[in-house]
Amino acid sequence: MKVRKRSRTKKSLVELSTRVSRSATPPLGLRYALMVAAIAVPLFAIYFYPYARTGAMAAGIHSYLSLYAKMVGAAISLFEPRVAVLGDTIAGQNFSIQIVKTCDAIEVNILLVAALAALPISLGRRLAAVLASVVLLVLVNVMRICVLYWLGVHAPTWFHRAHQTLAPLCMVVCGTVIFLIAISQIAPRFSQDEVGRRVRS
Amino acid sequence: MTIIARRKLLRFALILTALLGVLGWPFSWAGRSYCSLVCRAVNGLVLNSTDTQRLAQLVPDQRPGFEWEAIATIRNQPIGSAASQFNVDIHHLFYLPTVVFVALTLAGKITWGGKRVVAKLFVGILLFHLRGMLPFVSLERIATGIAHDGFVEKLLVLVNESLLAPLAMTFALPLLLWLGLFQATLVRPRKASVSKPGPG
Repeated sequence: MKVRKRSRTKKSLVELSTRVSRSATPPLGLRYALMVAAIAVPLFAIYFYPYARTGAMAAGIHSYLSLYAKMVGAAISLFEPRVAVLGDTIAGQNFSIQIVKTCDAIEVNILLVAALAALPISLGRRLAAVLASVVLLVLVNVMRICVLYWLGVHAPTWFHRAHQTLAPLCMVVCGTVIFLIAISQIAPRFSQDEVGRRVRS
Repeated sequence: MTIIARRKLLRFALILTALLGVLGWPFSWAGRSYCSLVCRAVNGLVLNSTDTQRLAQLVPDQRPGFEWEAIATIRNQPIGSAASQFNVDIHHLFYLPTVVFVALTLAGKITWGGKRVVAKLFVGILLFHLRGMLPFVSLERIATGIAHDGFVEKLLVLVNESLLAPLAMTFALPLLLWLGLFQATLVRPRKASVSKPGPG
């Protein structure tokens, strides 16, 4: 009897591992899409709501943009020493840029956060993936603004096209690549989680 | 999510880049005719241009170098007869998202199978042109002085600010729609039966 029980357990484990390895990446269906929307829509609403110009929220957003400008200004000062940050404006000798809403690539950040936070993995891994991806995307965005500043100073004819078309395209591509990398890192762990969950149940 | 072979992915990326480069380039000769078509559609469908008062109107910019732009005119009647004008980038609002979707669909044809591609192209082109018309709905409301601070007005502003104004959304929305359609119409492989473990 004992031998029979053991073979049954072995069989069920083989079945589970076969099923899970077939779905090496998490199943991203309608439920996943709805979860992404449920996370992304409130975040978009909080950021893009037309707040009154004088109020706590407007002041908060302004100080956040000023902080972002300081971060970008620090990065620009690595190759352009004569640059000053005044509020949300980065002023150089020949060229200056103002950091406004969406200059922080918030739309790509929100979509990436929602896409990662909705993945069917453990909370710890989800948080780690979200944090790492956001940090990476912020770094890419700071680089994007630095490149735009450099173009503004050295190749102003290219600035408009780069700012309007190439830079946003680059951010979306980066967001997609970061998501694909994150999912490829998470996928084996997802399989382990799933096996563990099913064996426990 | 299905694992796609690296060679197929590379081929997809190459075709996509080539299509985006060719179709997305703002050729001035294409801009003029496309702009006038869009203006006609927006005036007819959204803005009340048949009205002799002409509260809001969209016309192609005739200046050389501005082939992809249109000029929107608002006459804010409730306040006075003063008219305000601003430029609308037709290339970013209508053309580019449509082109990104078309390029993704055509490049993705290699993994989709070609039967329903035309239907998907039609859906995408229609949706992105309707999306482009959204700001003009609020424009009309502003022009006629309806609900300046009302909930609907704020909602329209929110939709405009979050989905239309950000430049990255020009590329992100077509990608999301394409991914959605890709997932929805993906031909999933049949579940292979699990072979029974042999003895030992």
